[in-house]
Amino acid sequence: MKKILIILAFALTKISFSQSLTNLIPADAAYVFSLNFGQLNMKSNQLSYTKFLSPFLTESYSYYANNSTCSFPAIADMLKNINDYGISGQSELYMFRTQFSGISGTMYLFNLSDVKLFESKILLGCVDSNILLIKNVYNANVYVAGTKAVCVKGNMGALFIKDFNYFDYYTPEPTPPVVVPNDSVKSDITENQENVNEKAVNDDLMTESEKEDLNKEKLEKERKKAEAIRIKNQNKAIMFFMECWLNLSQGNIRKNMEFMKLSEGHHDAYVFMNTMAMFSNKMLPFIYDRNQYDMISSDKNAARVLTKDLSASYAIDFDNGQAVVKIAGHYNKKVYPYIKKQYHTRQSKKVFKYINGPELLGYTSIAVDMKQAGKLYEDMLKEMADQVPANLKGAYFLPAMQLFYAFIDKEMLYNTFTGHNILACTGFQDVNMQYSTYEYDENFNSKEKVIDTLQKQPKMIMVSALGNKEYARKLFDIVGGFPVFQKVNNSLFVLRPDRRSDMAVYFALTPDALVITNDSVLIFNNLGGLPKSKQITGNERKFIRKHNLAIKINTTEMLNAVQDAYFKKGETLPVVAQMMTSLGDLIVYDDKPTVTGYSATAVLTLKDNSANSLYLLLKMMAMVK
Amino acid sequence: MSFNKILILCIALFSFSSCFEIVEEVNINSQNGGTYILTANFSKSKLRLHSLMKLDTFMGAKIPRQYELNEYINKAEKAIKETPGVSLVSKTVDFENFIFTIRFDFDKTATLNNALNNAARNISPEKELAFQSIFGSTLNIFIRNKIPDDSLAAKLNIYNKHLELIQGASIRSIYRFPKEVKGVSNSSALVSKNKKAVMLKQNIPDIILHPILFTNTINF
Repeated sequence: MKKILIILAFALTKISFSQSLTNLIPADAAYVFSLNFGQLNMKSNQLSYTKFLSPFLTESYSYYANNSTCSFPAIADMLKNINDYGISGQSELYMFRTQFSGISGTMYLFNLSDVKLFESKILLGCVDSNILLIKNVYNANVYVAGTKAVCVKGNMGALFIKDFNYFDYYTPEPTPPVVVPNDSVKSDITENQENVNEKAVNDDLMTESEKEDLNKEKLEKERKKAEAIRIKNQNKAIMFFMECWLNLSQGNIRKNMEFMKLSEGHHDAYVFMNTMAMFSNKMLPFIYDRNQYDMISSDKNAARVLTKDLSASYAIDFDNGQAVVKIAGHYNKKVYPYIKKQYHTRQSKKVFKYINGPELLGYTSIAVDMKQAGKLYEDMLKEMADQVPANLKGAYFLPAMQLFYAFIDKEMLYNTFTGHNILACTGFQDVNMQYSTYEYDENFNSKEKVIDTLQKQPKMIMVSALGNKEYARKLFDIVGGFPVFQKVNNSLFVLRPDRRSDMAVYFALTPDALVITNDSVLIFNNLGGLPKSKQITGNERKFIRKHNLAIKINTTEMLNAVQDAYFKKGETLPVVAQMMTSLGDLIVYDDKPTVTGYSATAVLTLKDNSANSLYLLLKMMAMVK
Repeated sequence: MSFNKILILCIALFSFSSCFEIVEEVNINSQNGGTYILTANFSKSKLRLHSLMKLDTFMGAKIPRQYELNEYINKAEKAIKETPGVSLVSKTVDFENFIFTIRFDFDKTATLNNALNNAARNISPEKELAFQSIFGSTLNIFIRNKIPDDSLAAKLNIYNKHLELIQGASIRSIYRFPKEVKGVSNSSALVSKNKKAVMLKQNIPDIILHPILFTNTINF
C-alpha cells in the first residue's frame, strides 16, 4: 500500500510538473519538441544521449554576439550538463518556436531542481551588468542580454533564443566630422561634432596623423554609443516579448486536443508540428524569409476548410526489446472524406510476381488512390494560396504552382499509374567493371592498364502497377526517345551510366506494370513473373495488403548479405558485428485513417526481447562515432 | 524522398569501402628545375562515386557537384599558372572514370613548393593556411619532407575507424633524375634499373597516421 502511495505521489508530481510547463506553451507555437529526462535517464544507463541533440541546437548568430560582455550559456552546453545548471533530471524539457510583437525565436522550458544554482550559472558569463536587463513580471524573474532571455518562475526555468535578424547586429556608422567652411552652416552641426572639429581640424599644433587618430577615436566613441542604444532597445523589445509570453493572452497549447493526446502518452520524446501555425507565422521556408525584418501577419480572411487544425506528431519510445516510433498526421473532419477515399485501396496483387521472395532483404510498399490524393492536394493548395498575404514575395509561389497545375493533363497524371508501388532490395549481384591503373617498367616509366573486376551491387527493383495502358505506352515511348537510353525492344530500354562497366538500369513495360530494376536475370528470364516458388510468401503478401504503407527490413539477412559482399574472412566493422548480434527486423506500417488522423508505426525489434533498446542504440552510435 | 533517391542511397550505402590511387611524379632536370605531375585515379571506385554524386549529402557530409569539383580544379590550375617560375601548366579531367591529372614545369624546387601551396590556399576553405615546404633540395640532394605533419596525424588518429574505409587507397611517388641515384634514406623506396628513378608506394591511411613513411632524401 505504501509503495502504491509513493508511486501515486510520484506520478502526480510528474503530471503537475508537466502541466505547469505545458501551460506556458502558446497555442500557436509552430512546433513543440519534448524530451522526457526522467524516463530517458532511467533507460540510458548513464550513457549520454543529450549530446545527440547538439546538431539541432545551433545558435547561428552566436558568431556575431561573441564580443558581448554579457552572454548567457549555450543551450547545447546546458542540456549536456543539466545537473551543473540545476536543471531537473526528472521532468520534461520542452522546446518550441513562437513569435510575439515582431520577435520570433526558440524557447526552451524545463523544471529546476536548484533555482539558485541555475540563476548563478546563467549570470556567470555576464561581466558587464550594464548590458543586462532585469525585471520581475507575472511573478517571474526575467533576465535579458543580447539575443537571449532567461526566465525563472517558481521552479520553472526558460531560455529564449531570438531568431537571427540582420538588423539586430547593424549599427549605422556615425558620420565622420566635416570641415566647416563658415558659421552659417556650423549651426546645423551637433555639439559633439563641433567639439571634435574644433580639436581635430582647427588645432594647428597637431600633426595630420594626430588629427586623424583623434577623429578615429571620436568615431569609435560614437559607434559604441550607437551600439549601446541599439542593445538597450533590443533588450527592451525582448523583455516585452517575454512579458507577452508570460501573459499568454491567446491561450496555451493545452486546448489543442491532438497535442494533449500526445502529451498524455508519456512518450520518451515527441515532436508536435502545428502545421497551420507554421503557415500563418510565415515559417514555411518558401514563403518566409528569416532575414526579413517585418513579420507580416496574414491579412486575408479567406475561409479555412481543409487547412484548419492541421498538425503532425512524431513520438518515440524505447522499450525493452524494441524501439517504437509513432508518426501521425491530424486533420479536421472535412478532410477525412478525401483521406478515406485516398486510402480505400489495397496493394495490387499484380506487383508481387516480380519480387524475389527467397532473396528479399527489404521493401517499401505504398498503395494510394492517385486521383483522390491529387484532388486533396489540389483543393488544399488552392485554399492555402487564398490565404497567403499579397505583400509577401513568396506569395508568387503558390499561384505559380496553380498556373502550372492548370496546364497539366490530369487524366494522364492520375490514371497512367494506379498508385500501387513497391520498391525492394533482393540481394546482391556481381557487376563486371573496368578500371584504370598503371604498370611500371624497370625504369619506372608508367603505362596505363585497364583491368576487369567484379563488384558487388545491391539488386533493386521498383514496380508500379499500370492504370491506363494507352497512357503508359505513350509516356514510355516518349521517355525512351531520350538518347541516354538504349532501346532493346518495344517494351524495354536500358540506361548504362558507365561505358566501362556492365552496370545497367532496365525500364520494362509489361502488360500490368512498369518495372525499373538493375536485375538483368529478372528482365531477360522472368519478365512475365517469377515462378510461384520464387515469389514473396503468403504471410508477407497478407501484411503488405493489410496496410497502405508497409516497410520491412530483414535486418539479419541484410547484414549477412553485406558481410558476405564486403568483408572477407569474417572480418567486419565492430558496429556491424554489434548490429548483427542485437538487431531484429525493422517494420513500418500504417493504420486505417480515422476521422481526425492518419498514423503509422515503426518498430525496430531487438533479438533479445528483454534488452534495453535505448542503451543498445546509444552503444552502437558511440561505436560509429 | 523520392523512390529514385532511395534507390541511389541504397547503392551508395552498400558501397562504403573505397579504393583509389594517387601518383606524384617529379622529373628533375640538370638545372634543378623539372616537371611535376600529380594524378588522382578514382576509377576503381567510380560506380560508388557516380552513385554518391547523385546525392546532396552522405552520412552528414556534403557531396560536391561536378561543377564544384571542376571549379576546385580550375582554381588550383589558375593559382599554379600565376606562380612565378611555373610554365606549361596543363590538366586532364575525366569524370566518367574519375581520373584527374595536373602537370607543370618549374624552374626550381622553391617554385614547386610555392605553386603547390598557392593551389592549396586557393581551394582550401581555411583562410590562413600555413606554408608547407613539401620538397627541399640542395646540390645533388632532393628531399621529400614530412607532409602532412604529426599534428594532422594525431587529429585524424581519433577517426581511425573512418580510415579503415579507405584502407585500399595508395599513394606512389616517382622521382626521376638526370644522373644516377647514389642513395635513398627511405628503406621502402625502390631504385630503378638505370638508377635514375626512385619509386615509393605506401597506403594512404598509413601515411596519414605516420607521415614519416613517405619522407625520402635522395642523393644523386
